[in-house]
Amino acid sequence: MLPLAALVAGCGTIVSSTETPSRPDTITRANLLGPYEGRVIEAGSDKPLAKALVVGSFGYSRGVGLRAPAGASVVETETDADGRYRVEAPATLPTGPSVRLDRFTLIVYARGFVAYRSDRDIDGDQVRFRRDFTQSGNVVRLLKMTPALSHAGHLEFLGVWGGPPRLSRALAWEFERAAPPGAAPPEAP
Amino acid sequence: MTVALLSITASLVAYEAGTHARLTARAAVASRVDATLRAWGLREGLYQGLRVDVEHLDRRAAFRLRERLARVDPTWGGAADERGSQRALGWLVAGSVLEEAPASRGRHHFLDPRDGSGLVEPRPGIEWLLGAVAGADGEGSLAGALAGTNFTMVGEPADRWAISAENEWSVTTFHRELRSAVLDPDSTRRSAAMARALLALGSVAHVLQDMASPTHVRNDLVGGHLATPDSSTFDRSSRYERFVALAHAEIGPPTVPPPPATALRARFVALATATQRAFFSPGTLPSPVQLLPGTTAERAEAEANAGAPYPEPVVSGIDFRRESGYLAGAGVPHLASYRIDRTGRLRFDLDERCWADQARVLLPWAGAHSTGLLDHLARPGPRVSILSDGTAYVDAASLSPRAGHVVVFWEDEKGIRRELERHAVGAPAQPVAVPTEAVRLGAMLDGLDERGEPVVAARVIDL
Repeated sequence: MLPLAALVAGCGTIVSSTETPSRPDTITRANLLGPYEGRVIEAGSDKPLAKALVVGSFGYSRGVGLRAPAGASVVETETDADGRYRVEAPATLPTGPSVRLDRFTLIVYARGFVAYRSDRDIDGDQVRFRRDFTQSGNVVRLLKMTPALSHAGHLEFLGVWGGPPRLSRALAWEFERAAPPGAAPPEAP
Repeated sequence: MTVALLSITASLVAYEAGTHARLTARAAVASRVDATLRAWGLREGLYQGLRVDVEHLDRRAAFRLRERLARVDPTWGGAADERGSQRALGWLVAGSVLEEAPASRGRHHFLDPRDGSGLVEPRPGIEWLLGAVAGADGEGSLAGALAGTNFTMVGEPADRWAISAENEWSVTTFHRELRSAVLDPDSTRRSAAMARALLALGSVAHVLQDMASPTHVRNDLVGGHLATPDSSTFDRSSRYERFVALAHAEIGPPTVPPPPATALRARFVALATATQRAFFSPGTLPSPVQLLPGTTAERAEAEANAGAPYPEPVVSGIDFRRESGYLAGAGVPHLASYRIDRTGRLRFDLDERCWADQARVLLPWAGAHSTGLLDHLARPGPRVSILSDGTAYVDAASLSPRAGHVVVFWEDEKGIRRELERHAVGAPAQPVAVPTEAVRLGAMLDGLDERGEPVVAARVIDL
């Protein structure tokens, strides 16, 4: 019983280490709990983008060794007139002896622009691992959508097929315009 | 005792949930599933919104489903909104995430293709501890924690788990829900059933993807998931799993062609066999070899291979002119690292270069096999034709069914479906009179395919 009691007693949330730098000018690692702040600008002109939708997700897992997904704390906000955003640490964290904050993911979406994800980037039709995300002083340069990138390709890059609610609503128009990945029903094999 | 046990418990899950989510999403887009969903009557294919109306479920089922869906990080792409709705692709992704929730389901994600066995590493102490943690975490009962029954380190082989009646999200579930999704009179219930069918399909894809993880095909839970603690005693994970999640966060589209069409369980065995032969896992590396004066590289390699728990991959290419280096494998320069320590023992290990090589090979394999699996299970149904006299003709012969029956149904403008006719496979197809109120017509094959495997395949056409 003693080990079990010890397990129950140790209920503080574990915060994983992260490869993300705390700022662009340092190799010091970020605090996964945040806060996260940065600025969204239009690529090329460097003009700030106001009212861009910003989604921050703190993702959890649970279990010592045996890790199962344990949900996420999701924040949806907008950039201010100067294009700035700030995502605070979750007010409350899930409890349990092995609950762990695994990751933080930032998504920025503005209609007419290629969306931003903190964990991956898209160049043409090539999607790759993003390495320039930082906790503070992060600069999000949004490129305007071009015909070279289809809505279907953009949605696949973004990879959000349900919630979060505001993002889901914001994406509805793009799903309506997305050319279907497949055209006609295939012939029966 | 507890500390000792904790020091050798690590993540059971080969790939993190987000990795499975991305693998499944990429595989779905690369597959014919979009077109098949349209054939099933979902006009928007993978983008079709599907809602599970929990009001239609009993209280316990509604709670369980809500609890499960709340585990999905929305940025992975499989989180239903507050109404219980998301797109078809989201349900598929959610299934691939939730297959490992609770984590104890992962003990059924092992397969040794040499003898068809699953996880067999019974360790009472570790099992008790894992069960206790699960109980304290709400992932198992307190009684189970005390009795040590919350978790055992013995599981069904992955290929059997995928079709097991004990598995709530199996191929059997997929077929059962697909039948309802096609034939239920009520469109709301059909939508919910289709969502559940896709959850089950995603779950099965997850199990298959784990066959592209060396620990899962080399019966290597304890040794293979040894890890050093990260930020605290409780913060432990498989190095390979974490490496893939951090360094390969972007999973590319499948870059190798899907395997040739074959039976369901053979797909698991094929991927498991390829993975087992190609790569080591941490707990199945060759044992250290004591080098004596005059020991040649060939002799050391022979001893290493003799002391390895699996015959492949084979140790070769050791360069005794250096105290450390890498073994090369088939197509990879960093199969395993080796070094000769101060006592003259030749030791083997896996480091980040090895993980990177594994990921570079195995993730595309996982994606390609997932694509093949999705197309194998999600199939368009019999041809439905409207003849010049207005009657319908249904032809299931091209599907080459071995047994079963074909159900012909129609749908009115309110979305209500009714059965029109059913006939046994092999019976001569007869034209069927279509009701004048029908706006859609469909047919579903429910039986055994040409390999004798269960199949449910449907097609719906607009009139």
